[in-house]
Amino acid sequence: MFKKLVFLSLFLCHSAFAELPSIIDPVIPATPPGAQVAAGYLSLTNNSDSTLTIDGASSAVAKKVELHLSKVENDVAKMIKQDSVMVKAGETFEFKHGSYHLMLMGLENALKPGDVVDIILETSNGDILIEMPVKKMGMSKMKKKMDHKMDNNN
Amino acid sequence: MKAENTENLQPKSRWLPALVIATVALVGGIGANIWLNTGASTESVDVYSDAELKQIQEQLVATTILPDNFKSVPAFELIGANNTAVTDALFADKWSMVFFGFTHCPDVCPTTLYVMNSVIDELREQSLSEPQVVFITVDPVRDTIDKVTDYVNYFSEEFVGLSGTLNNITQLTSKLGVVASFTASETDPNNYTVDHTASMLLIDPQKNLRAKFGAPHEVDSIVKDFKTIIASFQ
Ligand SMILES: [Cu+2]
Repeated sequence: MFKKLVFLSLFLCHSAFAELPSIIDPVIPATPPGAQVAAGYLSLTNNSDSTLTIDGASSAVAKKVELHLSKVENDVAKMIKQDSVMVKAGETFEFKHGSYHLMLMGLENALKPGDVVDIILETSNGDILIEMPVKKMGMSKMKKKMDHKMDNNN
Repeated sequence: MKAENTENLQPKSRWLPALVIATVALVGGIGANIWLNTGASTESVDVYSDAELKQIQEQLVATTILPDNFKSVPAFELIGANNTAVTDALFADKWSMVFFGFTHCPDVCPTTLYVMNSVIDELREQSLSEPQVVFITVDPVRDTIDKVTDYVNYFSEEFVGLSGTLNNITQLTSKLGVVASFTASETDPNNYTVDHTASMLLIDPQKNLRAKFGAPHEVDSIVKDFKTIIASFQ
């Protein structure tokens, strides 16, 4: 019985826990009233020893979730849909402001601070369910000084 | 109000390609160069020498001073909150920071408006004069004035949000050298995104385009540069 348990935990360690990517600081900034779109941000660390690809995403709160890259070229801001993003073994990939983001399109309702949005990331290692808290803008890491001010106001 | 209040985007895919062509023709497709290549305004008087402008430029962190007599706000008629007509008189006798964007923009546009609100807070805290902040949609077909008003008010009730007919907005953006180019979604022909000028424009009380704040927009550098600029252009 004891042996079996050890075996089981080793098995879990190797084939599941050690390979699951870590999700760091998932957040969706709250949306203005009537907004049809939202952006999701997070960091994902690939703990496995092979490249992980993120091929898509979905959520019940949006008609569609796409992987997007915001970029500014010649002073023109663009959003470009990405078919997939790659995360090499051991590396961390950031979805962040002004860069890659999860683009939630066709929102049913505004996303308010305190809401939690379930997003499924489709990866080469299977689907990952991520709970993304909705926070007031600026409560993430956009501007530390403002965070401080907002804390004082609350 | 010409923009239809409908979520059915089907009719738009018909004008979309024509619009892309029109926009590309207007701006020559090159964001950076149009700022310098299009004709100078004839309405204002040349007051600052190149040397003076250069000296101001050297003090700035993240802002580009534009040549004197570069461009000024043309006569326009757009629509403001509660469907009221708004003309270029909006820009008379005060400094304004103007951003062109659209509400189907979850990353760059909200970040900019959020930063602008922080800029105003910071200027107020330092008891300095504040510019008015104006957000003009480049996507008036989806962004009815009520949507734009709700959107900007979420960031600050003092911000001015404008919509209008596509024709009037395109005339204004092309005269100011602002890019707005429509790209249909690969996966959904009824959907599209709008590439648009990332800089924020600073307009002086004589309605001249004085400077542009480049992206990414940061509170501290905008505050610092705005202070330098208003002190330099009396
Ligand atoms: Cu996007």
